Amino acid sequence: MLVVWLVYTLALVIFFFFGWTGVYHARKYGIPGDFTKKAAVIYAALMIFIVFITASLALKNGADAPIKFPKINVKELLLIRK
Amino acid sequence: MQFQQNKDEKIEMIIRRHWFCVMGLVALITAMSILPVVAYFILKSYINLTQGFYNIFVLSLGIYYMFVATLFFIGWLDYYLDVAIITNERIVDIDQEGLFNRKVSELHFSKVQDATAEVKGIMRTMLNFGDVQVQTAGTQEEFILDEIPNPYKVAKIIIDFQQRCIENLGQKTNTDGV
Repeated sequence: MLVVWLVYTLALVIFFFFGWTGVYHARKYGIPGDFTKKAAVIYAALMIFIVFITASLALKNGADAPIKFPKINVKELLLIRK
Repeated sequence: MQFQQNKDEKIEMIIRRHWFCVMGLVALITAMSILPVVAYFILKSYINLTQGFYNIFVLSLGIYYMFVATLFFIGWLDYYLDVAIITNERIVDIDQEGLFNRKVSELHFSKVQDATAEVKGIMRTMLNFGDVQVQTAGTQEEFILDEIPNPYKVAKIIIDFQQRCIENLGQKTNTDGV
């Protein structure tokens, strides 16, 4: 599970970079009075919201819950029934 | 800010591409947002989610939605920062391509020779959007405002400003001569 959290953190860092660059562009190149600054705030808030919801759901479920891959009923999945 | 307004310069128009041009992006983002929810409900009856697997699923979903949000934000910035500004002195065309490519060109009305509006296709005709080509004097490259709403009106406004600019220059020359 540690690996999953590490991958998640790495993804957050990458998205932070792109998000920050986008917000920087919006703030730097927006025309005064237009929507770019508000959009940057909405985007940043949305990203924080997604992180908060997903991380809290995962933590609530148990941060170190053992990973057991689910049993997939292939026959049913492929609609092959006897 | 990239656009610097001169003293006595007045912004007459700020033109962005027509909203129809961003509909492809909106449709893609909508489809991408709905897809995991639909996939979850379809697969739910076939897969028994364990606690650990549920965590992976939720965290992956978080990364996926952050990717979708970022894609939309970048696409929207590309649309919204791609802008043409018409002032009483010049046309400033700002081309934003992705996050890291940006081209700003400006053209003074004294160098404008002609402006041509072009509306091609059914959707463009119905929604009244198209391109405006501004021909310039000298070796300066042609100025094209892509997919803007009301192209005929914009072309007329450019021609009006160009004529006003020529008249002003003529008056100035006459008074200087006297």
